Amino acid sequence: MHKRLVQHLAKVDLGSPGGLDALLGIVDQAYLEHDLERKRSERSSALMAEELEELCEKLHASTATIRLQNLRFQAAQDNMPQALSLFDKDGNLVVCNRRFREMYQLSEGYDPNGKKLLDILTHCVVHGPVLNLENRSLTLQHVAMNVSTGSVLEQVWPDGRIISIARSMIQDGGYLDTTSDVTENRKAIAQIAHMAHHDSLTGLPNRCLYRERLTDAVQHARRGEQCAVLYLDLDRFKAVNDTLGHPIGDALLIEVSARLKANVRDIDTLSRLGGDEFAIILRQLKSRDETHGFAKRVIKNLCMPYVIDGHDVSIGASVGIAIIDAWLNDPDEVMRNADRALYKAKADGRGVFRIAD
Amino acid sequence: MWAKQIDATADGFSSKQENLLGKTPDLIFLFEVSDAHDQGASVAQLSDIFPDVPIIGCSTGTIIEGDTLSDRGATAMAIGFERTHFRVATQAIGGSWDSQAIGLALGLQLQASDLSAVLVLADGLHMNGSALVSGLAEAVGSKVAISGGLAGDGARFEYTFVHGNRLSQSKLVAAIGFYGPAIRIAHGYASGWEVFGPNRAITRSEDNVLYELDGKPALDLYERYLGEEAAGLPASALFYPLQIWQPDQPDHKVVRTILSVDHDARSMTFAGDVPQAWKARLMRGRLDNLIESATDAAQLAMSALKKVGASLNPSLCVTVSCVGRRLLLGQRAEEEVKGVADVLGEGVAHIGFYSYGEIAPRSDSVLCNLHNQTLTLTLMAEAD
Repeated sequence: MHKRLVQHLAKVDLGSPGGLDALLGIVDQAYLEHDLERKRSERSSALMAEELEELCEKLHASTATIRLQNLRFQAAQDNMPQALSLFDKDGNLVVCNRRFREMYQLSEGYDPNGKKLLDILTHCVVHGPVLNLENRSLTLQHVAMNVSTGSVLEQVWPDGRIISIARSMIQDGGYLDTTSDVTENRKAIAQIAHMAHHDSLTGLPNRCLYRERLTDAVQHARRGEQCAVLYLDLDRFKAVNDTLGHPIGDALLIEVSARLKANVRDIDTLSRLGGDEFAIILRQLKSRDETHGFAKRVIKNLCMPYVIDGHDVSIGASVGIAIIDAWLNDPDEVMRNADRALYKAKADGRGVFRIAD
Repeated sequence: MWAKQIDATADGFSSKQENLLGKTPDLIFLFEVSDAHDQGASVAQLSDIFPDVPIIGCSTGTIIEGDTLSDRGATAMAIGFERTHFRVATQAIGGSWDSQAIGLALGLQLQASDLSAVLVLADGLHMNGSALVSGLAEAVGSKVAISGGLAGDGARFEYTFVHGNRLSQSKLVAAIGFYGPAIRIAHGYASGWEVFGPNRAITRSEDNVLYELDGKPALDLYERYLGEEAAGLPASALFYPLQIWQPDQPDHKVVRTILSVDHDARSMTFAGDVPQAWKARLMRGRLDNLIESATDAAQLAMSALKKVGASLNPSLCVTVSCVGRRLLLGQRAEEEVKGVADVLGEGVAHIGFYSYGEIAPRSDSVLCNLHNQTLTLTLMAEAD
């Protein structure tokens, strides 16, 4: 007999009036409770299955979204001009983009993921061709970059490229390296700097650079160096421009620059101040008289005939000389002196030099 | 120590108590099926029979007596100690005192250097049980085991009350402290419920009021699972207790049982805290598992008692089981009580009640907590 029926029978006295009814009542209740339990169990199982199915669908949708996001993220990474490498808190590579592989020219079969930066760079050094054993110090500098404060390192690689490496810390304790080829950028900056200080027609230092060099010369003169400024103006240049046109005039200025260059030393500064005005800062002169010979040579050279685009051209030059005395501390005063001397040279018939008093 | 059931008839406790063999008890435990109209009658009858004997107890939907249970009447246990003294403290619920403060106040009343254990009984409808236990433990210290439960009202959830210090009323907490080196107390605790369905996040809650799971009203989820039985809320929600845990402490899970629902706010009030940002999972009970777990709890308690006194047999067992188990087990609730009685064996007085929250330490620890949907046992004995 089932133990529950035994329990039920123990509760009633079947011999007594109503005993059977009492037993039936208890058994009926037992059936009812059993049915209820079964219904609850079935209902909860069905609902749980429904819920789990809903969650499963959501999970699939989330997975698909994440996969798509990953593809987009990977595409964005791979099309970055910079090489990107992300390392975890233990220093193992977790993500790198295509540019990283290209920049370090990692061989096809080499998987850098999970490896430390030193191992990856050592692989590069051993297998080349970007980095080699002779330049191992470059890789060591890179590995030693500070993580906690973030830092930027600039290196010149063996092939001449200028490489900038920026390191920043990630929240989980890892770090992100961004490696960029900044060669073109640096060239452009150098070009802009050159343009800012040089005359675009002749390539000579312009007034801005001349001014800096003059200031430098004034400071050196105060410490005893003998320096002077030759302020030079071409005679009859305007007539050339007016009769033969500006292109010929420009070509003449280039030729004049070349002749002047041939006369100055590396320590001197030849500059075009504008139009047909030139200035030469002479440094480390042995005596003031040295400027006389120099001015004569310049005037003589510039007076020699020119053939520009088939045209015979003849011009002259007047020169004003200002000696930079030790007691002078104002470049403007030097220029004013030179200007006065030039004015005097022109007034005295051109083709001559005059020295400021 | 001795403990004897006090005889009762359909009219209550009679003055003729031959089975006590003329002994006068030091203390009486009284559990009675809640009846607001007749509240205090049992206490009055017992006080007539045993003047000046402290009575501590509470209301319930079902009383436990030996290996049987009953949804009517009252059960009382007379207890005598030889080498143990005790003190009863009560605290009314109300004013600006929260559950934690009430626990603290009770604990401070009982606190003493030789305090060995505390048994606490609290109104089941006006108390955050976990906060009460936390306050009590703060006052008496972590070395004093606390057990007991929250007064019940069966599936009605309308009216609960507590007896203590000649008071018999709703909104009351009574605690009894046992003192001295002779008292030996052991506990057993078991659940038998199993988790099912997905893990959920408690996205909105306030103390013991749960508003949202996974961003949706918690009551919606319960109504969906209960189907037609949702009409029986809040009692029917006990079929699906909630297991909750702190995400970074997945090994410390607790079970919460519902006390009431607010259909307008779509909220559910539990017997203990349901902290926001914790994880939650529904549970369900298979009847055989629940019944077996009760036996396990009794065996755990007996083993625990052997550890504190190898030769000791318990004199008394106070069983506190959850109303949720009673509702789900139906007729078979008797089987869990019988399972416990069988483990206890002859000669161990057994009394208890179905509660709105069980309080007991886990068997291997004195750190106590509020449990729900469990069956807990407090075994008492006195060493020589």
